[in-house]
Amino acid sequence: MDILVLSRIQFAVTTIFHFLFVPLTIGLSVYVAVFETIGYIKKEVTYNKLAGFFGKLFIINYAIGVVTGIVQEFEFGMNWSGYARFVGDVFGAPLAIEALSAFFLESTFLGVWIFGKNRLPKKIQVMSIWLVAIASNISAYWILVANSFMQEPTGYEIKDGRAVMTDFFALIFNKHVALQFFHTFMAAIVTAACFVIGISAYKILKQKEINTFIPAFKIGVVTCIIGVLGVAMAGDMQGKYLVINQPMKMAAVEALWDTEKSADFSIIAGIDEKNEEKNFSLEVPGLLSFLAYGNFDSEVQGIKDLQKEYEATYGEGNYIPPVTITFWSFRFMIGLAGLMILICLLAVLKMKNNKFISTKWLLILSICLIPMPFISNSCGWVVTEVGRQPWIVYKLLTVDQAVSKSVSSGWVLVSLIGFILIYSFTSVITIGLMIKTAKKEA
Amino acid sequence: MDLNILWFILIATLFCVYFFLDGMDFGIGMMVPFLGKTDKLNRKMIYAIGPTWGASEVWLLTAGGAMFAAFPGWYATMFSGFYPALFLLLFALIVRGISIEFRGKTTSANSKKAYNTGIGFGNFLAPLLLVVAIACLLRGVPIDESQEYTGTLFSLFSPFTLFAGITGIAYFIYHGAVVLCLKLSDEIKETREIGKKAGLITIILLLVTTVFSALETDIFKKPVSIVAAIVMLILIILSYLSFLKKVGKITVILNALFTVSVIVTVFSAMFPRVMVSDTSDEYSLTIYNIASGNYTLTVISVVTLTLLPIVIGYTLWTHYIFSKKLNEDIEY
Repeated sequence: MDILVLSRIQFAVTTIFHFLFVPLTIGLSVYVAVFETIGYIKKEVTYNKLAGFFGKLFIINYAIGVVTGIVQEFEFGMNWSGYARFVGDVFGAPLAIEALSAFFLESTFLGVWIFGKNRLPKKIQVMSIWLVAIASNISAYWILVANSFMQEPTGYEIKDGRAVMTDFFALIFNKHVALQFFHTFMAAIVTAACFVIGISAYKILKQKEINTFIPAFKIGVVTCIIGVLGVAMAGDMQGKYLVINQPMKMAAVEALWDTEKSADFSIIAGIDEKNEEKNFSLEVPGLLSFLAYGNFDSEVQGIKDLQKEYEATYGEGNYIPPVTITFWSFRFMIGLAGLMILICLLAVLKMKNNKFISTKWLLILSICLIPMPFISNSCGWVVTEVGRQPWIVYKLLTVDQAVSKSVSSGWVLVSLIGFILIYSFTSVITIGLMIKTAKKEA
Repeated sequence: MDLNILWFILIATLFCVYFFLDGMDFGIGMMVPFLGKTDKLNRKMIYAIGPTWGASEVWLLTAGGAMFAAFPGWYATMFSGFYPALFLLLFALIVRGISIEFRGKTTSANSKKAYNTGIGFGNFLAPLLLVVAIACLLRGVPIDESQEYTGTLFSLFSPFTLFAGITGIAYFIYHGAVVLCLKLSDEIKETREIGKKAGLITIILLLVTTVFSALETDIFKKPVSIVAAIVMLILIILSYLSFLKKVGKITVILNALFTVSVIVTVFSAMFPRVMVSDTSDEYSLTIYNIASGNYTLTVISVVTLTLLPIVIGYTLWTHYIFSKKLNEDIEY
């Protein structure tokens, strides 16, 4: 098979797998820190128990994040050496700073938190877990700085065929980062919230330690609603931003082949990429124009026109990202977000007098929440990264220019199979361990 | 001093700290499947590396990030050129990481055995590949005029690189035994025996590797490298003598200094190159022909020189508070 295709599949597989764990780490660290702090201040055993219980699950999750994260860093050089050469001057800095400012802090103080339990004063314990939570979020910021350069390069100039950094602050205060960080942080909160809600619902359903998990369930539901609203807000701003800055991505997300005034939003559609048309679609009139520009009459650029425009500027080639994947990923992402908020609102209705503890259907629905954000997060990244194709750095470098020239496709196939095997094994054991740990008493 | 040299030294330093810290995990980890017939001793061994392996690995991650940021051409050529070896390295690191984490959470004797094997395998393969890879940077690999690697997996192996690799393994076992002796309060005899053997083998292998390095590398062409190599041999012998007499903190300190001397030997022999081309020395990658621009180097220098002292501070603090002897009430 072609080395570009194999490398792309490998990067997609390893990144999606890595990012299953990351948002839970980012989000759950905050919840554990909050539980630990309430327990410390109020001297309430319930919250100490919750901190310990979710802390154990957090640790399992964190370890997988570490071992899969190092793969990500190496792959930029291993599979994408053309990219590393072209962009290293700009892109390497946030990665190095991420390690220095966040990973050391995170791993060291997680160690202190775990192994200092019976050795160190409680105050240091609380401080340690907060440092872990802060560090996870710092790391998210830096990696998004790096990613945003791929989406919207800023603070650089091209010198001898390479991107060279000229303005560090333009890089780190890229407007793309601000929106993306807000979106990612809120999504991480939702991920952890659904995790907390689902497990608490399971405990309540099984009539185990109900009093411990009632507060966790409630905190989860409230923060999940806030989180989904936050994500929606960020998403709305991003949409309006991207339609101007990456119009092709937005057109692909909507499978909008032709430029339209008062463009409709397709809820579902049959997409024919070959003939560049939709076979059928269920539409809300004018909604796309409204989402893009806040006005039902605005004109939204279509894929065909953009392709012509890009060819005129960047030479012949196909500048259309895979439309079907982008279109459906986007709909799965928002569809699941809608489902999550719906379930949480139902839970709110049963919040009075803790009615939810005896509402079996609601508890079962709540357990079903657990996987939803994971799918939603992955879909979100598919939209962002697949929608950027064929560019690896938007308008500067394409993926086929970026792939390593000195690597044989045979070895990429071997590594792809190797990663799939070890990651599958890891997932099975991790999920098993999580379930086992969740079943234990807090 | 220009910033290119500063980053050359910083990356060498990151590797130093990494090999010193993760060296303990490698050494103790390799002994896990063989030592510790009792579950209790096994658990103690894993407890000795459990709290720190993650943080140790971050030093490697940082070294990679620093190479990417300061010398993108080095990072690109080496990581793509050494693709098979680095894939196996990642695989080994994943196996050892998940084995350490999962080992503590299983109760079945068979799974424990399997994870012990995983811990041993990962902690053996990872340092072997790392040492071979670094030996290759010095000895030279096929690199063409466009700075692309043109060899295969087998171009990485020569008598020098292979001996360097197994010397590394012997040394890490010795280093692990030293640290474990210090951490254990009882059941120390077996570990001491392993340490005695591994230490002796390390010294012999290191002498052989040094001889091969004279044939294959530039170590004996530069005064600094010659001095560093002699200091390196003296330090390992001193460390071994102190271990034979009575294992103490001084042995660990001598090992730390030994690690520094090895890295100084290798990096001073390479300087100003970071990856020697054996196709033609003109094609060698140097700290000037593959580096980031001055602006980027300035930015990362300021950030690093601010953050690194803080990182070192809290790392030392945690190693200090966890350096006490291992108790019975452990989680693994």
